[in-house]
Amino acid sequence: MKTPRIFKVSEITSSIRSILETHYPFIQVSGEISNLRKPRSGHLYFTLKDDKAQIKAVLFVMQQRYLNQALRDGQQVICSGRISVYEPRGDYQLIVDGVNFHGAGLLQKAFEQLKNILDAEGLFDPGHKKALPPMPQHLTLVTSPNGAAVHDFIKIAQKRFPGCSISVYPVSVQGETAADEIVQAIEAINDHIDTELIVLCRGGGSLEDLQAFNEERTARAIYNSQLPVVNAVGHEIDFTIADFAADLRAPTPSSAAELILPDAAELKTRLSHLQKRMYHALNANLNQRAAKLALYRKIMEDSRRPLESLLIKLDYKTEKIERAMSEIIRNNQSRLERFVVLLEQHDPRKNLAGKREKISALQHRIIMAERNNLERHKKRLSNVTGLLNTVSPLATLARGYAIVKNEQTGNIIRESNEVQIGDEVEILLHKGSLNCEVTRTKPTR
Amino acid sequence: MAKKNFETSLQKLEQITDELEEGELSLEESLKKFQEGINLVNFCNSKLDEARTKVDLLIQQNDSLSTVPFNEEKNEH
Repeated sequence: MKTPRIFKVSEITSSIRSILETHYPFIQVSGEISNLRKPRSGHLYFTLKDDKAQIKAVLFVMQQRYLNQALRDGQQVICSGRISVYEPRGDYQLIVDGVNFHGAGLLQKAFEQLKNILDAEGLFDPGHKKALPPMPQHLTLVTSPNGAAVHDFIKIAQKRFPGCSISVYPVSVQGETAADEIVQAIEAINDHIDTELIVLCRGGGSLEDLQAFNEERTARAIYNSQLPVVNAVGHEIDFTIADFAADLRAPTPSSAAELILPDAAELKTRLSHLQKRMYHALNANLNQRAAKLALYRKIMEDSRRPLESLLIKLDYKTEKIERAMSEIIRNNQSRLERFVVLLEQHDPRKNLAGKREKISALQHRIIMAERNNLERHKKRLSNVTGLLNTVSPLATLARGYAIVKNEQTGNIIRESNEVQIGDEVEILLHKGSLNCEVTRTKPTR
Repeated sequence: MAKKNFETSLQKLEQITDELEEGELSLEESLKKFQEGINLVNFCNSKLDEARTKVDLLIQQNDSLSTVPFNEEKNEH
């Protein structure tokens, strides 16, 4: 009977190695990088994994120059290379020749898709982001109470602003139930806790580890929260869907504490500055008042003496003016009274009746006088007319007498010597006249 | 009246300082404001001087949340 062959460890390992190397001389493996480390040798060791399995991988230092970007944990990559066995440890591993970063893994693809959908829906809208309280008095951490993240956050918070109290809402931050726990925590805090701010807190990890923060319901719970939500998940470069939905994304838990809380040292400086300003303002105010007071006091003292004499002078003048005024008033009053008496004496109304009587008497007398005059003249006229009739030369002439007048002088000639021979005379007859020349004169005997 | 907290106290303090600097207050008002300002400075300083951040752990009990003091050391692995 043939006894089965007994292999030495090195024999079987060598055999496995040759089988694997022969069977997988060149393969491409897609997965996520984790447990990346680089010992002094410079070779890169990491684990390539998906959600069910993992494989060790090494990228030797001379191959690394073909890399177009650095490897990091959580990256979805496609590694090309061969399978070999490291015999001293009995580990089979992927000897990587090249790394393709663009052949994004399924998780990465799902991440991008969800991100685009939620973005289109407006969940990342900057207009929806809530302002953070500038100096929160109380905030609530949603985190694992056991991780380094919570410790980092509290350490920085303590250093910066101890006035802010912190509540820790314990949740799982990875694993099956993590997303549900986080969603429930956000809702419960909004409903029941008197706090100003929610901080989702977790250290870095692979894309799988951070899956709870890439879930759609987590993003929606953040979007729907009435309280501002800060997402502080991962290391510097890990972005999650929650980062986009949150009101503030902090690259790490420590930096979240720095972003959220004011710096007590700065505030102390500000307080002491304000205090100095207050002292200064009050002092300035007091000094200004003291100076004003001193000035007024000086003015009062300077002006006391002249003021007194001025007051007396004023009194004196006032009295004098008053006296003068009443004197003038009195004088004018008596003058006025005198004038009133005079005026009353000369009141024309008083004489008016007498004058009227006088006028009417005179009128009467004038009328009577005129009438008498008229009578008298009438009488005289008739007398004269009679007389005239008796003496009228015309009557004499009618009786045959004539009147002789010097024609040159017009004189009536009563004697013959009143004319010379040759003189012309006019002889007035009873009817008509004669012009004659004197031819002879005969004096009276 | 809003509850007295650091932020509102600091704002009030800044306002008082501005008013004092404007110098239009009466002497009595100035002194009153100054006293109020000093009280606010003391309050803010005392807030900043609080020795330790108060940290609670929220615990779900039946349907309500209650708090216990959070002890980092004890919770650490």
